Amino acid sequence: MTTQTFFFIFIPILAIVLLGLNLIFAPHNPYDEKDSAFECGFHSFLGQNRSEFSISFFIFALLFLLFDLEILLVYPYVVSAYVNGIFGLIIMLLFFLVLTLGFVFELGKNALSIDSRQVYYVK
Amino acid sequence: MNNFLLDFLALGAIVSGILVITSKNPVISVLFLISVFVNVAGYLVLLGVGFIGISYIVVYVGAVTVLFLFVIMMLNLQLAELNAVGSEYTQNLPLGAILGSVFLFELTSVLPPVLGQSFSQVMLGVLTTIHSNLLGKTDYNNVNDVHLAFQSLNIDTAFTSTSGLQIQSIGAMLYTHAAIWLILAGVILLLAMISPIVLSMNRK
Repeated sequence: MTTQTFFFIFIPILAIVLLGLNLIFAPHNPYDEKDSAFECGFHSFLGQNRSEFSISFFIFALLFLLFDLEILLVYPYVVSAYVNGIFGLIIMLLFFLVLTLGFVFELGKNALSIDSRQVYYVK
Repeated sequence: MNNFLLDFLALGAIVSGILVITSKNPVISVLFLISVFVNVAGYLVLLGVGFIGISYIVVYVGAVTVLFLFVIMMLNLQLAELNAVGSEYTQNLPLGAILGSVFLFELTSVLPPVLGQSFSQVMLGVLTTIHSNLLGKTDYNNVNDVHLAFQSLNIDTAFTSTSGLQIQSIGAMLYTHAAIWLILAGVILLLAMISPIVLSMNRK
């Protein structure tokens, strides 16, 4: 049996044994306050949990997805650059240029600036 | 060993998919969606297409799941009004039955007969009868043996002989023969980049 097969069998058994030991031997006395989520000592009211947040957080995640896809499509070029030659390089640069246009647009519009919620007091 | 793991991953994907739909809490639904993605990525890696499998994990679990969570954050969901009870639940069942039977019809006609030739023909006959009674259409061209048109090879090994690794052969093909589609994909990504910024801009 190889090491890999041994680990595949042994590690789930070990995890289940340790969890089972905790389940059998640990004391279990729950009450309401213990079960609820910890929120710095405060109790959260229904309807007070949501607050507004800036849309730029969402734009951050969306732009991460798009540039992630771009990297995923450039990665096969990186490992096959010798085979593709100059033609492949030009195609990759065209693809990169198209997406760099989008990047420049986003930089110019300051789309990722998160508005500060700090209030400035003038003394 | 490989076949057992494939069946295990497929079962995990199906069970996770069912739990996505039937979970009460939307965040638990997203967690089971992550489980679907991971199971399908493992399945793809075992099939031989490692690049696509790993890219599933990177793109789906890494970015698409975060976007799902943002959408759930932005919707004002009251958990009490999410669970439909009584007549609100039963009024959706006929539509669900029709859509489910359409899906079953496609599955049994396209996939190769797993449980025997006669079982799939009986299934097709039942679904055709139900559809013709409900929707009034009586002539159905029962396509038999559609699955013979889809021959899934394990991996296409014609290109790996030139460049060795799978990702190198993908790169070699993508940047020469499929260059126009790559640039088209770039234009689509550019559109996706510009439109949310324009839509969410503050006009001062």
